[in-house]
Amino acid sequence: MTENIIKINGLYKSFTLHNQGGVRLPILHDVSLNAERGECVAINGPSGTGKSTLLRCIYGNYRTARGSIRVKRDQQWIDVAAATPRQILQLRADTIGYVSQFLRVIPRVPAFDIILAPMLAAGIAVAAARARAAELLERLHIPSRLWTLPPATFSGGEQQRINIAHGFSVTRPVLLLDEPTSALDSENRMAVMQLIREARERGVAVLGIFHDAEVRDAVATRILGIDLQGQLREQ
Amino acid sequence: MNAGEQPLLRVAGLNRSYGSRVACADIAFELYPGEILAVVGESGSGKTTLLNCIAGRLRPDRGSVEYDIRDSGLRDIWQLAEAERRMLARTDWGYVQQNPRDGLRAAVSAGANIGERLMLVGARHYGAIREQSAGWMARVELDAERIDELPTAFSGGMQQRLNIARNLVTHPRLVFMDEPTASLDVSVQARLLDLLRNLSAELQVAAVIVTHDLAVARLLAQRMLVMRGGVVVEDGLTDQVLDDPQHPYTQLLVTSVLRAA
Ligand SMILES: Nc1ncnc2c1ncn2[C@@H]1O[C@H](COP(=O)(O)OP(=O)(O)OP(=O)(O)O)[C@@H](O)[C@H]1O
Ligand SMILES: [Mg+2]
Repeated sequence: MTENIIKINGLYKSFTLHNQGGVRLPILHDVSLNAERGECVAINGPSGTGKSTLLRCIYGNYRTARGSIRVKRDQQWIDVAAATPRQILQLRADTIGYVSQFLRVIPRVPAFDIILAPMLAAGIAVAAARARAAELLERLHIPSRLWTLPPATFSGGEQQRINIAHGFSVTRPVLLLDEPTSALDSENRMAVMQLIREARERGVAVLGIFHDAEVRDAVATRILGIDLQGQLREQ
Repeated sequence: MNAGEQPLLRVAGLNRSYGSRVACADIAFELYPGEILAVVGESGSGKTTLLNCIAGRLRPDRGSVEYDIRDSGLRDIWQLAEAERRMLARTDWGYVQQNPRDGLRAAVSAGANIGERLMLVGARHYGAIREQSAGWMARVELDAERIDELPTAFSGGMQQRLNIARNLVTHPRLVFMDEPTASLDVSVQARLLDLLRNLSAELQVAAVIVTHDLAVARLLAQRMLVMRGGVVVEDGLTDQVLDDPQHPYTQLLVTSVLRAA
C-alpha cells in the first residue's frame, strides 16, 4: 500500500540580489514531485542547479515565489509555500526532519543535548530519549568523550554525524537529507545508509541529495535529476 | 504549541510620530503564547518606540494593541484605565531595559529589588518573599548569599541577570526586552544569552526582543520583524528571513554581518 505524503506542484524559485544591481537568478523552474511513505528519492544534478534550494523550500527555510509544496500532516495537506510561520514550526516539530549540509550549532550546547532536544520537544520521556541519543552516537562512532562537549570545535565529519544523529533522533514522516555522507569515511557511510533503510521501513519518505554515486545507488528507490534550467526529471 | 490557540498580543495599524518624524507606521503583527519575536533594524528605525507602545509605556497616535487579559480575553491596552494597565505591567508583563540600572532600584538590596514586584501584587510575608528572591537569584546564576548587597556591588552582567530575575518573579506571560545584551561585554553577553534561552524554554514565556544583533535573533527568536524608517519591511520565520532575505535592506543587514549569524 502506498501513501502520498509530499506533493509539489509547479514550483518556481529565484533569487534577486538587490545589492548586486538587482540581478535575478532563476533557479527552480516548474518543479513537480510526489513522494510516498517508505521511498527514498534521490535528487541528482550538477553543482548549483538548486538541489539544496529545493530541500530548503520544502523545509520552509526558503520562500517560494510560485507553486505549491503540500505535505500531509495528520491526514491534512498543508502547503508550505502558503503556510504561516507557526504552521511551518509545527511541521518541523512533528512532520519534516532536515539534515542540512552543515551543522548550525547553538553555541555552547553539548552534542548530547543537541540530539536530545527534538526528542524532548516531541514529548519523548527523558530516559528513552537519552537511550536513543546514546544509541545514535555509538552507531555513528562518536567517541563518548565528545558527547558532553559543544560541537563548535569538532571536525567536519564529527559535526556532520552530530547533525545526522539530530535529524534521525525522532521519526518524522518526511526526512530531507542534504549530502549527509559528504565528509564521512566508509564505516560511517554504512551507518548512515543503515539509518536511512530503517527510516524507510518505518514509513518515512526520504528525499536526499547524495554526492556519492555508490551511496545514492544503494539507498535510492528512485532518482530524479535537476538540469541546468532548474527542471526536474526522472532519471 | 497549538496552531488553534488565541494570540497573546495583537497589534494592528499602529502609528506613532514625534512631531513630523514618523517612528512607527502602520505596524501589525501577532504574538502567540510562548513565542519569541525579535525586532531588528538600525538605530532610529523605530524599534524602541514600537516596544514602548506595545508595553503600555508610550501611547500610540493610532492603532490598537490588544492583549489577552486573563479572564477577559483580548482587550486594547490603550482603552484600559491607567491603573489596569499599570497592574498588567506589574504582574503579567516584564520589561528588561538595555541598561540594567534603568530597571533596578539602586538604593535597595538585590533581594528587595526582586521582592518588590511580589509586594506590589500583595505578598506580605517577609520570609516567603526573601525565600523566593533567593530562589530567583540562584535561577539567574547569582550567588544567593549576596542577597543583601546593593545592585551597585554587582557587575554589569550580574545586574542584568538581577533585572531579569526582578521581572520574572511574578511569572509574567510576556516580557519586553530592549537590547538586553547590548550594554555588556561580549563574553558576558554569551552567558546572558544562554540564560535567556534556557529560561524561555523552561518557562514558556513569550517575549518581544528589540535587538540590532542578528545572532541574538537567530539564537532566541522563532520569528522576526525587520524595521527601517518606522516601517516593517520584512517579517517571517527567523531562519527564513536570515537565510532567504527578500527586501534590499534585509539583504544588506544579513550580508553585513560576515556570517556571524
Ligand atoms: N540564499 C540564497 N541567496 C542567493 N542565492 C542563493 C541562495 N541560496 C542558493 N543560491 C543560489 O542558488 C543556486 C543553487 O544553489 P543550491 O545550493 O541549491 O545548489 P546545489 O544544487 O545544492 O549545488 P551543490 O551541488 O553545489 O550543493 C546557486 O547559484 C546559489 O548560489
Ligand atoms: Mg547543495
